[in-house]
Formats: sequence, C-alpha cells, structure tokens
Amino acid sequence: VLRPDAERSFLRGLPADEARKVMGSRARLDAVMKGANPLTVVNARIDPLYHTRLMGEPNDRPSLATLPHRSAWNGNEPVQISGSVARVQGHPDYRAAKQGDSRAAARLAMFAMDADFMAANGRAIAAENPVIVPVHAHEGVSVNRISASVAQWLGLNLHLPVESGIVQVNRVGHTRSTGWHRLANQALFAGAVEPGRNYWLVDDFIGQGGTLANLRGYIQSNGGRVSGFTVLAGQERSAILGLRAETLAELRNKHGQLENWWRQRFGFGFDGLTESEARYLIRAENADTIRNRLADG
Amino acid sequence: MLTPSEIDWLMDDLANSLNVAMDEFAIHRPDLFRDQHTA
Repeated sequence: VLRPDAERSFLRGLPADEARKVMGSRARLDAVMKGANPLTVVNARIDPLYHTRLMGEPNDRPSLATLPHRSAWNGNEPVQISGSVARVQGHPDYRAAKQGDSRAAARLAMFAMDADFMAANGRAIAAENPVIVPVHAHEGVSVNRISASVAQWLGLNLHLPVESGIVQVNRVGHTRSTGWHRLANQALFAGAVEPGRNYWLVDDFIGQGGTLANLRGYIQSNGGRVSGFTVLAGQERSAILGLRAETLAELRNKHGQLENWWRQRFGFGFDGLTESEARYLIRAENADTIRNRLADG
Repeated sequence: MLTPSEIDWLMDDLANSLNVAMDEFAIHRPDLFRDQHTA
C-alpha cells in the first residue's frame, strides 16, 4: 500500500459520526484509530468469499479464483465407475491408501480396475487420446493419493500421459460429510492447462460429482477440453454427471427464485450443477431450507 | 485456501505419488512394462 496511514487520515478528517458509519461501528473505528488494519477489521468473521478488497491494490502474485467455474452440460456426460464403495472399502489396502500410502493406493487401483474393467472402459478413454488428470487434494491431516494411483494405472494400461501440474488448492473436508456441506464447500483448482488439449478426469470416489464438475470447469475455462470421467468407486446413481434438461427444468420449476442468489453465492447458475446436485436440491422443501442448510454447511 | 508454497508442495507430492505408484505397478505387473518397451 502506497500510504500505510491513508485510511486513518481519511477517517480522522471525517465528522466522528460519519467515520463511525464508514467503519460500521464505534468499536471498529476505535480499533482502526489504534492502528489496526481497516481491511482486517472489516473482514473479521466474514466468509472469505465476501471479503472487501481495495481496488488496484498491488499484488505480488496472481490471485487464485475463489469461486469455481462451471460450464453448462450437454446432459448426458457419464462417469465410468469401477465398482461399489463397499467393494473398495473392503480391500485390505483401502485404509492405508486413504491415509496417503501410494503403494497401497496402487494395489487398490490394480484390484478395482482389473482386466474386465479395462476391456469394458479402456477403449472409450484411449479413443480421445487425453491427458489423464487426477484430483489431487490435501484432505487436512493427509494427502489422499488414491486418485493419483488410479490415474497412473489407467495411463500405464492405455499408454496415456498423466498430468502432474494441476491440483486442488483448498481443503473442503468432503469425506463422510453431508450433501449440504459438499455443496457449500466447493473444490478449487490451480495449475497449467494446455489449450485445445483433451483431458480425462479421475477421482477416487464420486458422490454428487461437484469436485469433478469444478475440475472440468477449471480446465475448460483455461482452454482445455474435457473428454470424460473415471472414478474408482461410487453408487450407480452417480453415473450420470451432466445435468439432464428435464432435471434442470424440474429444479427451476421448484426453486427457480433461488437461482440468482445461487449464482452470486457460487459463481454459476443452476445449469452448472451436476445431475446429483440438482436432484439433491429438488428434494429440499423450499428455497429457505436450501439457504439455511448451506449457511450451516 | 492453500498458500502458494503449500500448492507447490502438493504439485511435487503429486509427481512423487505418480512415481511411487509406477514402482509398485512394476513389482506386480512387469508384463505391462515389457509391453511398453517393445511397443
């Protein structure tokens, strides 16, 4: 900042009542006059998505997007799912893999994505000649390395390259969380995307598909193309990722008055939702339920 | 949100995870690597 004391000088020059109004309260004004950073005071206890920032503030590094990008769907984008969650979780290597053991994760990928799976699904992937991209994320206490192993296993079997330069840049705590928590805490990504290149996205588990949708949006917004999706495990109802036109119509019919609020909160309209996310919202009683549950999430 | 240095670390971790997985595949499925070298 060019003049560190500029805000205080400005506030000092105002009538006391005006200065209090600018800062929002007497306590906030006092804090700033005693030397606190006005932005820190204004942004205290506020969701980072809604933080106040100074226009033209010098920035020594490019800022990361704080809202996901999502593009509309064609309505029939499928996800290849290698098996049920129970099958994967029952494997002796599952626990170690989930906690970050790459060798255990590799053995889990070999077990779940066997020759039958490759015979049924490999051709669809290879036909697109994509780069395979895992969702690589820090989950708080450890890094889940299952997706990386799945991506590498597909790459080895199909003779395809695996991307190592795109990662999830926030911690969302999705494991064992509710659908509301998942919706409220969207995964964000960073890393270099090659414009025009085909990408095939891989994750360990799929629930509502929001993480894959956000990685798709990240790649597309940076000029890449997304050809398809494969996950290690999930329920059959998650196998349709792209929102179908009739589901979108049903959601707008029930909660259409919420869509502008949704767009401001999340950065995309209802047409960017996945099929499972939209179905989840349709089940909510009314718009207030959705807003309240997301605030809790 | 991760810090820039945490993001750099995570990218290194991804590259390393891919390498370790490949080592494990080589132990269990050397046939796949022979295929690659002769392809």
